[in-house]
Order: sequence, then C-alpha cells, then structure tokens
Amino acid sequence: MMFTTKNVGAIHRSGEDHARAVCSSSSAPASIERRVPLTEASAIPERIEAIDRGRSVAGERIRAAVTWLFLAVVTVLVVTPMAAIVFGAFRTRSPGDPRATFSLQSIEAVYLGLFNGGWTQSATLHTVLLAIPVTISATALGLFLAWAVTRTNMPGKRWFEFGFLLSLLYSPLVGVIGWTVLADPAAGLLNGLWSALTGASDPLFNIYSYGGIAWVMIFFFAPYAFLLNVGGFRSLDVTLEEVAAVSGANLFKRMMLITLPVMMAGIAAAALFIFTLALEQFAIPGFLGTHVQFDTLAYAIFLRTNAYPSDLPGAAAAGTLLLILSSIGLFAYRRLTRHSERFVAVTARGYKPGVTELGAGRYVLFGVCLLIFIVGIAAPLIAVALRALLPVRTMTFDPGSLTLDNFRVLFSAADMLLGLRNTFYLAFGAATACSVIGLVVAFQITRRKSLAKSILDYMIALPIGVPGTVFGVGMLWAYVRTPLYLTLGILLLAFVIRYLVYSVRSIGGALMQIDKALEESAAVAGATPFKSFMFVNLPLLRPVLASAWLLVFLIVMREISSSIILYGAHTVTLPILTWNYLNDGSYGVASALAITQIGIVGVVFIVLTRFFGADLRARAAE
Amino acid sequence: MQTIDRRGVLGLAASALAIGSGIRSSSAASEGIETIDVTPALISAAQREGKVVVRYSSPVDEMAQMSEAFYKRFNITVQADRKVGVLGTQQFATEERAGRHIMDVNYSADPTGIKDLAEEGYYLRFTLPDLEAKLDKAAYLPTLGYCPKWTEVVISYNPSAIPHERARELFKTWNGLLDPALKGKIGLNEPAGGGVPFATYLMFYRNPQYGKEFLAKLAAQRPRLYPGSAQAREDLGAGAISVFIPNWESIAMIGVLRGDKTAWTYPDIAPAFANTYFCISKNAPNPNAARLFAAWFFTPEGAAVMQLAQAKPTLKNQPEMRTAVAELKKTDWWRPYPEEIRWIPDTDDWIKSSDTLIPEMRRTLGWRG
Repeated sequence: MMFTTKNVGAIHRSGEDHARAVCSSSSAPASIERRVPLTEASAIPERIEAIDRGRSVAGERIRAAVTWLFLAVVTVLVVTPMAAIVFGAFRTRSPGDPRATFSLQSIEAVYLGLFNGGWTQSATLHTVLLAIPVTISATALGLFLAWAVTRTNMPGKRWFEFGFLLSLLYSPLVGVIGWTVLADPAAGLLNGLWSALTGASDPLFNIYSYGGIAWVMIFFFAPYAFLLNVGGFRSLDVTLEEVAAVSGANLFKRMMLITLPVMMAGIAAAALFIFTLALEQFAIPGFLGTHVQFDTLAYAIFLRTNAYPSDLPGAAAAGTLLLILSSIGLFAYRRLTRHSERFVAVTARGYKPGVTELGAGRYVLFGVCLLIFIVGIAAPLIAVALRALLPVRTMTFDPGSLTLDNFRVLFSAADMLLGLRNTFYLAFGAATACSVIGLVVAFQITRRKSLAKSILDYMIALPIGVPGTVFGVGMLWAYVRTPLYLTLGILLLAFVIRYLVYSVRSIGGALMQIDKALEESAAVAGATPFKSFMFVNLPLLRPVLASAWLLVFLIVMREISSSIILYGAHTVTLPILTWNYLNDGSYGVASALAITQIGIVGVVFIVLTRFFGADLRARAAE
Repeated sequence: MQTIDRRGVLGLAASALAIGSGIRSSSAASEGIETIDVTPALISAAQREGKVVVRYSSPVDEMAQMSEAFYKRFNITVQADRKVGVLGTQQFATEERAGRHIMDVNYSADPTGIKDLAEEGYYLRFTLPDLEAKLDKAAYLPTLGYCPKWTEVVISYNPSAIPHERARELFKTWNGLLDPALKGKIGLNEPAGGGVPFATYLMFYRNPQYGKEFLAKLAAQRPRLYPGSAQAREDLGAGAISVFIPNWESIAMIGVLRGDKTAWTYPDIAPAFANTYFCISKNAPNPNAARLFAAWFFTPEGAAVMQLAQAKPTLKNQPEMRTAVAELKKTDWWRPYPEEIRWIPDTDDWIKSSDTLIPEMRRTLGWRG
C-alpha cells in the first residue's frame, strides 16, 4: 500500500485516520503527489508527533496572542470608519450636526426604495446587471491571457505580460477619455473611419450604452484577473497536466478538470476583487451612463456626496446596501475556497513548472492575444496619447495640430511635483504595509483555521465593500479630531485598511497552493515554525509578494474615490490632479498627466523587475 | 488633542489681536455684523499672520491667478485647497463640529450649505463698506457671502454644425432648442451637476413663457446628459453635439482662448447670478488674512485680478480688461452680453427648492427613482 507525503500530517494522528486519509487523497482533484513506500514513511508520523510535543505550549500561546492582537488591531482600524458610516446612515443629518437626530428615514429610503421605485431601485438593478457579466467576462479574459503568457509557448510572451497591465497604470477617468475619442457615436474616430469607408450614417460603435460601459469595464478590470492569476499559473506543476494528457485528456478537458480546479482559489479571488470593484466603480458608468440615464448605485452615492443637494446620511445608508451586495461575493468566495487543500499545486516532491507545446497553434494564440491587446488596451491608450498632443478634441486627425502644450502646462503646474511625490510616498507605503501585514494575516488565515481567523478574514474584506467615497466620508468622520487629519498619514491609513484584503487574498491564494507537507518536512528536519516560514514559505511566496505589492501600488497610484474626500492642500496626489483637470475641462492636460504617469510607473515596473528581481510571472518553485 | 487645544488658543489670540488692530468696526458691528474694509491696519495685521487657507470649488487656473496676485500684492501665502461641489462645505462642517479650525475662507458655490452652516454659527457675519454702491444685490448673500464674479448663462454651439447667423436666429429664445433638426444633438448638464444647471432649469420653472413643461419638451429632444459641464464642452468642440446648455460666458471665453471651436449666443432671458461666494470662518486661524482676502477682490485692484482669469467682476463700473473680450471683438459673431436678458434667481427660492426640484428635474429628464 502507498500513501502520500501530503497526508503525513493527518496520518500520524491515528491508524484509522491513516486509511481515511489515503482514501481522501485520491478524491482530492489535482493532488498528484510523490508516492512513498509505507515502510519508509511509517517512521515519519512518530517523528512529527515528537516534534509537535516538543513545540512548547508557550509557542502556541504566542501564536494565539499574535492572532488575537492582529484581530484587535484590524478590528479597531476597520470598525472605526465602518461604524461611522453605519452611524451616519441612521442620522437625519451628518454625524456631529447638533440638529441631527436618530432616524430610519435614510435606511428606509434605500431599502424600501428597492421595492417601491425609490432612488436605489433602478440604480441597484443597473449595478447588478453590470457587475455580474463584467465580473465573469473580465475574469475569464484575464484568466485566458494569464494562461496564454505562462502556460504556452506563444511567442512574444514577455511583451504581452507588460502590455496587458498597461491599463492598470492610469485612471479609469482617463480611460473614459480614450474610449470617448474612439467610439463616441457622433464624433468617435473609429466611427468616422467606418463612415468614411462604408458611407454608413449609423455609427458602428456607441460607447454611451450598456454594452459600451460593460466593454470599457471588462478591459479595465481584466488586467486584475491577469495579475492575480499569472503567478498561480506559473507555479502550477506541469506534471499534473502531463498525467492527464497521458490518460488521454485533450487540452480543453485538461483545462476544465485539472488546471481550473487547481487555480480556483486565485480565480475566486480575482472574481471577488473584480466584483467589488465593479460594484463601487462610479467613474466609468458615471461619465458614460449619464448620457443615457443609466445610473449605478456607486454613481448615485457619489452624487449624494459631491453634488447638489448633498445627502451624506443617504450615501452612508446606500453604502450599507453595497456592502451587503459585496458580502454576497465574499460569501461565494469563501464557499469556493473553503477546502484550501484542494488547491495544492506546489508539493513536497520534485516540481516541474512548464508550458504546453501548441505547435502551429501558438501563432494563432499570438494573433488572438495581439488582437485583444490592440482592441482593448492599445487603442484607447493611443487615443489618450493623441488627446494629450491635441489642444482641442476634433473629429478628424490632423498631424499639423499636434503640440506639446499640454505637457508644458502640466509641468509648469505648481502642484505637479508635490502630487508626484505624495503619490509615490503613498503608493510605496501602502504597498509595503499591505504586503507585510497581508503576508502575516494570510498565513494565519490560510494555515490555521479558527473562529477568530474567520472573523479576521471577513473583517479585512469589509472596507472594500463600500464605495470609496463613502469610506472616505467614514474616515473623515472618524479621524477629523486626530492629528492624522489632512496629513498623508490618513490617506496611507485609508489605503492600507481598504486594500489590505487584496494582498491577503493574493498571498492567501498562493499559500493554498503550497502543500503543508513542505512545512512539515521542515519540522521533521528540526526547523522552528519561524524558520520554516522564512526558509520554506517565504522564498516560494517571493514572486507572489512582488505581485501583491505591485497590485496595491498600482491601485494607490490611481486611487481617487477616498482621496477626494481626505486630501488637503499639502496632500494632493496625481489622481486628484487628474480629477481637477477633468473638472476644469482640461482634458488634454489630464491626458498628458496620464501618459506621464504611465511612463513613470513603467520605469518603476522595469526597475523592480530588472534590478530587484520582482517577477510577476511568479516562478514560485523554480 | 494638544494640537487642537493649541490651535484653539492661537485662534482666540489671533481673533483678539485682530479686533484690537486691523478690523474696522462700524454701526453694523453692534448688530454682530462686521464691516470689513481694506485698511493699512488690516493689511499689516494680515501680513503678520503671513498665510490664508482658502477652500474653493472654482477652476484651478482662476484660483492660481488670484493666489499669485494676492501674494504679490501683500506677501501673504495662499494655501488653496480645492474641493469641488458640496465637498468643501461638508468638510468645513465636519471640522468645525469637531473643534478643528483649519479653513479661513470658503470660496463656495453652495448657497444651501452656506446658509445651513451659518445657522450653526460657523461663518462670520460681515459686510463690505458702501455695499450697495459696490455690488448688485444679486451678487451676495447678505452678511454671509460675497461673490466677486458674475456667472452669465449662454447657449453654446458648434459653428461647424450650426452657422453663426442660423444660431443667432434659432436661439433668440430657448424654444430654438426644440427644433426637430436638433434632436439627439443637444447636450444638457444634469440638474445635480452644479449651480449653473439648477439655476437655468429653475428659470424655466419660474418663468411662464417656458414653465416646467419646457424641461419635458427638452427631454423629448433626446439630449445627451452630462454629469459636468467640462465633458459637454469637450464634446461640443469635437462636434459630438451641436449645442450645449447651460454654459456660461466666462468659461466659454477661456475655451476660445485655448482654441475651442465653439461659439455662443444669448437668448431672450438667461440666468445671471453670483455663483461662488467668499465666506469667512468665524474661527479662522488667520482671521485678518481671511478678511483681507475676502475684501480685496471687491476693490478695483482685486477686480482687475478677476478679469485676468476672464471672470466678469461683480464690482460695479469696472473697465473691461479681459483679454478674451479683446480677442472676441475681432470676430464677426461675438457681441457683448445684453444686460436686459438677465434673470436673477431668488436665493431663498433656490435654497428652499433645490432638495425637491433637483430630483424632480432628473425624473423629467428620464432618470427613474
């Protein structure tokens, strides 16, 4: 009889468990482990047991104390602004207003309004109708691209890896400019070209439609799914697929039965991530949907915080509704990933990452990826660059009118350098803090399950469930009395609280793929848990950490929704400058800023990958 | 908390100093209303403070020019903190309620919020000397806020789509917008998008020749609706729409200087109002600098600075100095704003109606809920 190293931890507990573990290992999908003769392995459980006993009770207590300490700190940080939001939802006026009283009027307007034609009804319907297909499509697209660049022998993979991330480097507001220049039904360049070629009077594309909004959001969010899965794909042991291939499974079957189930943790994390982003996205549906009265909940909330008449209690109450919607997504994620052992892909045995040879098909795949890149990413980016070089937007392209004036205006602006410096401080700070804290939290949540850790897991996901503007208002209410107010510190704190979940999810997803047996092997060899973490898990997680760091860095580089509430004269950021330029109608300068931002972040990206070894391709176990 | 206490003490001390040195009192002061004039004493007291914190929602370029001119004239730094829409008012309210006194002057386009916070006692009650001689009544919220520039609503169009002569003829009244040829080619700023759209739609509601039904007729023209005017102006210049309302002349002038291929004309009646008010925080950390900043733009010198930003000053009898006007005079389509078309909204009506009318206007334009 054979058993697997993966199950040694379970086997040692009892003889009865031994047999059960062997049976269960065969039912675990994609867990194909090194087979070890029973006689050789029989000594291992005793050694582990001895080591387990050897671990001091004090060590366990320290771990428990650390968990509870984290829980307490995270709870305080998260609960403070969230409690302010909930409190605000039950007031007739903003918290602090002496005329405010407790009331259910905002809550009633939001929740009963769903059924009696209130302001939340169509907005919520639109939100759901947009978020679900966008989540599915963007996740699928990002997954496909991640698979193409990591698991195949397609040519040009390195270029695509960077190319597919380009739209993460600038604000969605600027993306909207690009798409408007291209696909405005009356003045879009593509429609003009279509009309010139065919003589048709009807436009080919209409960006001001449900389809147009969904299209922009899909291409805007797909890079997140790409980023969150590219590491997992790279870490995936090709042996799993090879065994399936030997058994006669074709590429599709291997994808469906081996690759996707093993990748489920990363896929679910990406889907959850995109779902919450789609729920709270106000800029794209706001700018494109207003034309056709297509308002979403996030945009309706934005209006209540920014436009006339102001209704902060209503915004807070609607924020709780979005929180419930995003909690449904979180619940689905937890259901999908509740058996973390199913996603083990990096085991204690020899590991063989590799690619699928596609033969001539690799050129077809290249063509498909190139088309996606051109249509979804390069085209709007070129349009933004074009707008940056034009003094005013026109229906036709005249090379003679190109000018660098918008860049001159940008670089002569007094706030430009300040905004650049602040943005980098915040992006570096938040990315680093989220990575470090996220690593510890993810390890706690993934490796040692308990009620406290489940609470911690839910707790860190709460802040992303409410729109950024509402979260910003909550932070304002909660921290206005503290010295942090109007400093970079409050922005940094807001970003860490809000985006910690992303690093926890991406690192946690990777941890689920690493077999516990590796740690157990280290323990057998006499390593303490800390040593095991430092010398086994950390090296394996290094690329995923880089990926998580970059993800938060990129999000903060363009964060607008919370910043717009919390920034002050000395804490202006690049996205705030972009927002101000757009508000003033300086679309050309805003586009110039976006191009500059892409250039700067691109340099950071290259420096990180070339000189610091950060590798989004996440060759985890190589 | 120490920071707050220290600020509070400093604020009180500065206020006491201000009362003792720079701020001129008058008979109004006995009613709790201070009269602020730009005097040498106020200037030197303000210079001792050295800084003024201004929260504003007007265009960045305009504030940059105002700040630079103020600094050059008085050597006092302007810390300009932009908060668009109602955000500035909300932030100020939150700060004051928490005992944080950070902002000196709110250059705000939110009359409802200004009145609301004045009720809580957070704004200084003040007036300017010889007020009636200086400003039209429509240019201020008595004792609370004073606006240094006019916002004069116009109908903007793209001359490539509507030639100048045709536009002038068509838009003699707002009814020209109902021309069937313009179906699907009109851009409208959404009612919640700011004071200018609300004032314009309120004008339709309050004037029988149009009435509230006019908005429904506009909705039947299948207009493009814009959350903000900037996007509409961009689309108008590009030819995506042929006409945009409501635009205002000073911002349209800035566009022309930038190279926008747009023009505008004046209908039979159009809102002309004070859109952005200087309000002074009662607990301003730099009380003298705040007073000087708010009062200086109502002197000929300050009004000239407003014209640098192409704004039309509210201070009466100022010579025309705007460079955009000089440029526009060279064209064959532009003519000066006809004063007889001015419709000045009643601020009280504005404040009372906005909560109910804006949702109603949105519904008329096609939003549900």
